[in-house]
Amino acid sequence: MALLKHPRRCRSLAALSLFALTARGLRSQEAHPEYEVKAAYLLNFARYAAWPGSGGSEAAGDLVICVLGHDPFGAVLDRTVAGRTVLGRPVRVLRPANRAEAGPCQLAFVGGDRRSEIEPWLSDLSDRPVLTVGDGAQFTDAGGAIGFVVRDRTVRFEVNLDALRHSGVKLSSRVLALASRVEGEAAR
Amino acid sequence: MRRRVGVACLLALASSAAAAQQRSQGDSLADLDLEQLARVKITSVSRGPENVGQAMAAVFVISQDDIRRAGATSLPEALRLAPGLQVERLGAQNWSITSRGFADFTTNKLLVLVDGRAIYSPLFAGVFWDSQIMPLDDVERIEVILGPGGTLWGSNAVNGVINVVTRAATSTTGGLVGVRAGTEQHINTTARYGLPLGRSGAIRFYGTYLDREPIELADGSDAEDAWQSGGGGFRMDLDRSARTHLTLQGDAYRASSEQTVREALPDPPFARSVTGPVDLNGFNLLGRWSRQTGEASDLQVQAYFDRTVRDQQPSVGRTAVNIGDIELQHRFLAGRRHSIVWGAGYRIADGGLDGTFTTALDPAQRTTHLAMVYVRDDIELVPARVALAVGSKVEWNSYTGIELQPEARLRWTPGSRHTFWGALSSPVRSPSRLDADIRFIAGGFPTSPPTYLQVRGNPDFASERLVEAELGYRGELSAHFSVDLSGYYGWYDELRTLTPGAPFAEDGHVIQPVTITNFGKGHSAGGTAAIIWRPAPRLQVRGSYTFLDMADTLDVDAAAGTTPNVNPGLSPEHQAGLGLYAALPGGVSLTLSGRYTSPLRNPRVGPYAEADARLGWSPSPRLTLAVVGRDLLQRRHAEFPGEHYLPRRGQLQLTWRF
Repeated sequence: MALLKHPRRCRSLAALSLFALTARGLRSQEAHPEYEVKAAYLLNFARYAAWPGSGGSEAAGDLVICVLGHDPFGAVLDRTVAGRTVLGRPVRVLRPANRAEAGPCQLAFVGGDRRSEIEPWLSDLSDRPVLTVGDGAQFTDAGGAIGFVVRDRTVRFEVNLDALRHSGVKLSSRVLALASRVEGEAAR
Repeated sequence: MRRRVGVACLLALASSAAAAQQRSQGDSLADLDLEQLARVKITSVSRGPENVGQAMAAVFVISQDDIRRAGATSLPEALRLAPGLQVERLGAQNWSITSRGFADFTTNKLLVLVDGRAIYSPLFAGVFWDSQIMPLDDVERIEVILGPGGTLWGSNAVNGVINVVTRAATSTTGGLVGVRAGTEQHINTTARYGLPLGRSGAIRFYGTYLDREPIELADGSDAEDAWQSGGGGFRMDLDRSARTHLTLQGDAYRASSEQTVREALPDPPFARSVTGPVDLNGFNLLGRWSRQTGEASDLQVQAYFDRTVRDQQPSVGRTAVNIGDIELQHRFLAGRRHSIVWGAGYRIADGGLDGTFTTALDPAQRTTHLAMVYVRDDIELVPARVALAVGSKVEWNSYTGIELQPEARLRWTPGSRHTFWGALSSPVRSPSRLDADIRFIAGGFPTSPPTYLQVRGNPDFASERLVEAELGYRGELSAHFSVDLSGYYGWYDELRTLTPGAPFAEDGHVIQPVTITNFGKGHSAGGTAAIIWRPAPRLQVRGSYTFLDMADTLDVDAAAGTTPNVNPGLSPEHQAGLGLYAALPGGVSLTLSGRYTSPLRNPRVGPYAEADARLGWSPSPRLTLAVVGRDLLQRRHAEFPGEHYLPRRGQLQLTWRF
């Protein structure tokens, strides 16, 4: 009963201890495969994104993360999202082969590092409310919203605000604050 | 009431802790927040220790933080931070560094790499530590493997691997000036400036200057080995695309010192001390291209050129060696359980020694080749629990032809906090120019006519071979306490020995030839224990202990007269270290460390215990000031035979970033 009377203090303690444990688990393993870290980022981007019309609280339907083009994740992404929910919505991974199959995508990782691989997908998605994520600064240069960059053996990301605004997806300021670089008209 | 809240919370904590522990490690990343993810280190594309079978070996990593906290200003000083390495200083700028015994003036069973470039010399298979004058500010980490390096590492990884990794230029933009001044090491300065290149690249340049006092000899006179060196270099990193990286780097240096050598003469008085100048210079250029082709799969191509010139007029002469090296490595997943790494490499070394009467090579100049292919398969036998790695390296060298170097390693991870590993491997130390081609006058005798001993290299010298069994345990016993234990038993064969031949007359002297042979064999055993304890968030205690048993274990498998060329008496039986780091309020930090080395038995040196201290203060993130004291316990102490005494010394360090 005491627990109920002081839920706030207890929760903060619990959160703290959970962090300590995960941090310890991580330390024991030291380093992680790059795409395991990137998969965890995708889940986090979904947590801090709001899609137009949803109001951010819609609990109906799955949240769909797509991998388009070259898939560097293999089974890692599926393992990462298995059993996870975002704002109460189960997360599902799709690997559409073409534009028509990409309809349900809300967050799309576009694989490949040549502009010729990336740009067709970006133009297919440009009129839809899809948060696009890809590899490298050239991904945001090509019109993608979030590009992963590897710095000092950590995974960071850059944000193209113009592309984000164009898609209609809103990202929490928390994500923007952590971006190693934010570009676009809106940033100036 | 308050107490009951506490108990309830504790119960809640315990259950959440249990739940957290039940999750596998792969899932725990998904629990992390953005801020935490940004700090998670990813496995390096290169063959870092994480990739060496996820540490199915005794691996320690010295981080940039560790180096800075210790106030280390040279690579050997930084290597003292690794448990299990034997690091002894024997002059102003000379060091003997080894792992698992076999310490000597010319230690030869270690592979040392700087950003993928092997820095052990093909002349004697050891490292000229004096010419390694890189600035430590740009070192990202130093990976130290005790014991056989295994398939993935290059040649000579018999008793250990030291892999120095510098930071990518993309993480060193901006300026840094480091000035260290004090007693013994008068001045040691580095300056670095890095700037971005386009959207996803960067380049940095550095310069460094070092001026050391001579070291004191037993009688109080100085060893006349004062040292000045200067160097500079650059590193450029470009991300050609998200998964394609290009690195180009180079260094150049020049150093001058003096050296006093006791050399043998063929005539009376049969020995003398000569003092003369030592001039060193060299440069290297390395390019690396890597492409990540998917999760846990990548391709890397690397090539370098390295020139080392040493003009040691007293007794030795002038050596100049040019090395060209090209390597390829490919890593990929095969099915769900196999991670395969294979690679190939080729190295050409050209050069030699313009010798003196005392020391020469025959032939003086020679070109040698080294080619290798390797493959290793890491197999997940039971996912996340048991892994097996099997592989072999096949090496071809100019001296002995084909050498097979197989290994098998096994890892058992019963829980996320405990790892047990074992390994069985068989590396070789292939011959150097010294083994095959040396002509060295080792001593003269007042017979009539006078006799002198000439050590002669042996073109048929075989590779020294080791078969080693290792066991290890790594555990996080609590959130604040981790332990690392490793032990080994090694069988050595074909070790270097000296065999006297039939005396003959020449130029009015009797020459007693002594040929380098391979009749040594024996075993060596030992182990290392290391702990890290974090009793409070801003306090860290590290301890280590290393035991080595190689006394009376080496034997000669030949007729009388042959003597071993290994002196186990130069390797201490016990080494221990204890370090404390405390981050105090106001940007102040304190580092205290002590070390103990049991006596060297032949010739007898030590035992000694010494302590270092560093008090640092960072009034702003851009500026750090520190006072460093080294070897504080005694006015002077010796670490190795040769009568060089290291003084107690102090240093002021200033580091400014802009």
